[in-house]
Amino acid sequence: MKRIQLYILLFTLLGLFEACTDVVELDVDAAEPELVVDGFLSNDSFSYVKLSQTAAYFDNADFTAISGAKVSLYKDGQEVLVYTESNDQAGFYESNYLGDFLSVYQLKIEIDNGPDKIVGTWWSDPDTLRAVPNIDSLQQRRLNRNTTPQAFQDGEYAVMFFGDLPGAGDFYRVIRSLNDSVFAQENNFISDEGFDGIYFGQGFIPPINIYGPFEDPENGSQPDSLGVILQSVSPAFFDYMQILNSQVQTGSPFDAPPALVLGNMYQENDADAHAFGYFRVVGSSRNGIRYQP
Amino acid sequence: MKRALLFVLLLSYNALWAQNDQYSLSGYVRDAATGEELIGVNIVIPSMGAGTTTNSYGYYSISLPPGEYNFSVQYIGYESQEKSIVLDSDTKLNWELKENSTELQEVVVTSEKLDRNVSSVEMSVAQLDVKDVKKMPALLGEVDIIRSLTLLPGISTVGEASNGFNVRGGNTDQNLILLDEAPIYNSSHLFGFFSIFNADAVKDVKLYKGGIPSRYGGRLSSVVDVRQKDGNNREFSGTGGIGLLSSRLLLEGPIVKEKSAFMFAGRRSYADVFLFLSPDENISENTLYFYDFNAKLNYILGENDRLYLSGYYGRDVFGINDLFGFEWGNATTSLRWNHLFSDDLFSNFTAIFSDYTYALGTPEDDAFNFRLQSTIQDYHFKNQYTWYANSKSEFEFGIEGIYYRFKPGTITGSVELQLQEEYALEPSLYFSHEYRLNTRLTLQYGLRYSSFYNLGAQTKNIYQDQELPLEDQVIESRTYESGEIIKAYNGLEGLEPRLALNYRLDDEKSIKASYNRTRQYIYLISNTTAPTPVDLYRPAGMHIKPATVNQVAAGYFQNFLDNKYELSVESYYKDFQNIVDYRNGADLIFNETIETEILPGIGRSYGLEFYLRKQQGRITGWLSYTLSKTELKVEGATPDLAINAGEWYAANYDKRHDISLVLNYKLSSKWDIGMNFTYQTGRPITPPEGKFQVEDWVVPIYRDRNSYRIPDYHRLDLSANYTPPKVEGKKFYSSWSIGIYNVYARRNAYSIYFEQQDNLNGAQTTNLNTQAVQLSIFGTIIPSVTWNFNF
Repeated sequence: MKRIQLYILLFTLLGLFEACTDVVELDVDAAEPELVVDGFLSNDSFSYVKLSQTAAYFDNADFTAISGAKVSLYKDGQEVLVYTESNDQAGFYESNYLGDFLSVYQLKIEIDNGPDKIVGTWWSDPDTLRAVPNIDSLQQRRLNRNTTPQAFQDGEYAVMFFGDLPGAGDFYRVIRSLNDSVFAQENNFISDEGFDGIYFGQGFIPPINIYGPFEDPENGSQPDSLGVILQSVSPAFFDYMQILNSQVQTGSPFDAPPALVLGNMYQENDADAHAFGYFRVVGSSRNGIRYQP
Repeated sequence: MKRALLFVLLLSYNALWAQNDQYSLSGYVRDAATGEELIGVNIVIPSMGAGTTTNSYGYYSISLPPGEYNFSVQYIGYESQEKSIVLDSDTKLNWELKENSTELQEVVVTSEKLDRNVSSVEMSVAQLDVKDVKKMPALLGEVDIIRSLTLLPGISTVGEASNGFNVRGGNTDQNLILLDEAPIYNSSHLFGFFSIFNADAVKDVKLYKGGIPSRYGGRLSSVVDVRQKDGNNREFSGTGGIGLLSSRLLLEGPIVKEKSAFMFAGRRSYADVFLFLSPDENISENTLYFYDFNAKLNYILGENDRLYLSGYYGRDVFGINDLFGFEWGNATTSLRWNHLFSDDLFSNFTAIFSDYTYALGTPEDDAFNFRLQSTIQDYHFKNQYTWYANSKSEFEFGIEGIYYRFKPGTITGSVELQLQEEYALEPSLYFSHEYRLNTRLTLQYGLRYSSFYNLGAQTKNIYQDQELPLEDQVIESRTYESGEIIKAYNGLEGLEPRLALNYRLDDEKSIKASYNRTRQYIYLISNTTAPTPVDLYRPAGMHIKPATVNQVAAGYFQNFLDNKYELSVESYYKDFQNIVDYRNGADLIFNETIETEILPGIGRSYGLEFYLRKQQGRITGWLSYTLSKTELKVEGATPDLAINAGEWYAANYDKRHDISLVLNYKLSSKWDIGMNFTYQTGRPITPPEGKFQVEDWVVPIYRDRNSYRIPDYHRLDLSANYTPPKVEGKKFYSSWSIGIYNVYARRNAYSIYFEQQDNLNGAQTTNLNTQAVQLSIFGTIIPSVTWNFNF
């Protein structure tokens, strides 16, 4: 999306004409439905697996849920639980189970009924629940362009202090929420490549500017509260999200070529038969701050 | 092989034997007004059907038995000259041609036919007269040589404002673009809207699509040879123009009259000057402009020696508020020394420096500032010889060495980081022999031998499987000393044979055929459909093999109606090996182990090109049509790495039909009208065959690469040029060009992209609906007006 915006800006800057866009519909054949897995396991919040079908690209009806599947979790090779399908939301399987650090988890899905390409037994790649650093603090600071390049406007910001775990190859995902509402479609990752073991907020390394500027509350209302979750993720999930992010919008000449975004779910006994989606196993820590006007 | 060698030796012997008891006629052909040497002028002896042409420096030489000959010198746009000469000794004769002053005449004053396209062994050559290009309609009135070339058969772009161009199914990095022999690594300004060549400073442009002479090498698909003006060595003069987008000025004149001259040209766009007037802060505080300079000095040292020093410097500057800056551009310098060892042995020694750099970053006074800079530099040395053995034989031979220095990335500022530099050496040698076996058959055969050495100092990863380098399978890091050979490509695969044949059916018709093998050792690392200024070349080496292509072409050439019309029909087939593609999600910027992101592939391209040109009379112009197909195949070492499941797929720049009609009508002595019409099949795109949801992302499912096409492209442009007659005794004169680009305001699709609707960064709700959006760059008519002047 950024590339298209850059291009449109470029045309506009030329000051002579405007690039124009039209929504169009293409006459393309839809493929057979396939399995999509959107699963999550962490050490500090409930685990879920959402099963759905792929859909035709121009069909904007809700995605079809897959009910009646048996979804089980394996820890270090042993089955530890079977998820329960939610009564409120078809295809949503959940559990209060919390994962243990450094244990290896695998998801198994058994589907007896449905389209040909969905029926069968599916497994995720084994994944380790990785250690995660604490978010030592979230602090409110007044920032501007002279102090922090990302602080485009002068104002009150939230900054995050934490230290990378020793050892190279750590990837952290940052999920933010404002007043308990998670920001949509954020692809915020921190890699320790070239920065192994550093502490953000110590010495000459500044804390991470995580949100801002806060807006002053309207009369009588509560000031905003910001929540931050720091997740330690596998390199494979980091790669998956980078490819996914590059594919969510494609087609401009400055975009990467379209590619199939394949995750970590496979059909039993056939590693080349992928399901879409990802079962992610993450170590998680969290912190929050309320704006002080 | 032995038979071929014997045949070559026989031909060479024949040529050597034939030179006994011959005398040469040699010299330069110049423009009478400016003293500028003219390239490609025909010097013919009509009675013998023999002749030659001036080389890139305006020099010619022809050796003949003693006798009296009637010579005719012909050049499009100039009055022909004839002269009878008794050749009883080696003779030097310089010709000075006058520009045709009466372009309205129906028949050009020539007693002989300008039939070089039929008589020359050259084929698959696209050539434009810069004067014609200046009359053509142009986007925003900016005369654009590269854009004009794309109106010729076999040459296209992925979109109307895209960096680079594609020749006969070749990728944009497969074009060797030379400006006074110096390679240009990015030929576009403003992300592809305009070319870097200031037409005022250009004397000659020639593009080889096939039958590439052996003196050229290093790229697979084409050579664009652009020559700058030498400078007027008779009087001081200038040319300039003020347009909507940019203004330009060229000054030239003698330093020592008839002996040395200078040329200096500059150009700058100024859209940014008006940006601050915008009430929208998002626009008014941005920066966007380009500028370039061309310069040339030449000095006649004596009868047999000339020196040329030329240079180019260009930059594009793009800034978003005071937050972020981005600049890129080429810089070149060429020093050339022409020396005549004898009248029939012409030599040229060249030393070249070329640099392409891009840089991006934040302002230096930012608290945490950074600047990322990437550069490719090369140092060339060339020594070329042309031996005009006799009227039937011409030999070319020479050596060339290129030393590359790649600086893929240096970060400075608050954090300092540097990727390892890479070094490489590309030596080559070549020869070719053009031999007229009889009045009907001309043969040109040649051989180029190139090799490539990837050099230290560098530390390279050694992988478990060197053919399939994976980031997590490094078994060793090996350090190479400065100058140590990391990988050499110096085997027989570096032989690049070249062959061309012309069989004249009669004076007006010929058939031609050619074969060439070319080899390329450097790649533009880019996985976007159109390259961007932040893409940089990297060398072949331990893990990336050189690419090769074999091309065969055949064609029919005819002139008719007293040479008013020129027709050619050519077909070609190309077979590409070891071309580069990338893994899904490849990370190409600031990546030291680029080999882990690259996938080798193969390609094939074939097509038919039709070209009909009218070059005399009130109406001039051409019609070109290309029917072509270009496909790629990347099987990958494992099924996961295959693109399109390892099956053939259409290249991004594959366009089945491409038609251009270019016309200029001389309405009166003051007015002429130009028209371009172009039609192309839409380029391929990959449509999603479905979608799925993960978290709040809706992800398209892409399987069949490039299986759909955007709507066909067509556009009409018009121009009118008003040139008042020159007033006797008055040196200053001016002209106006008025243009309309995209006359019927077609919203041609530039691309179609697929997206989730209305999801902005920072939103807290997600719209899961998806849509396809067609982006058109020019949705309306674009008028332009330019005032040009000369003094």
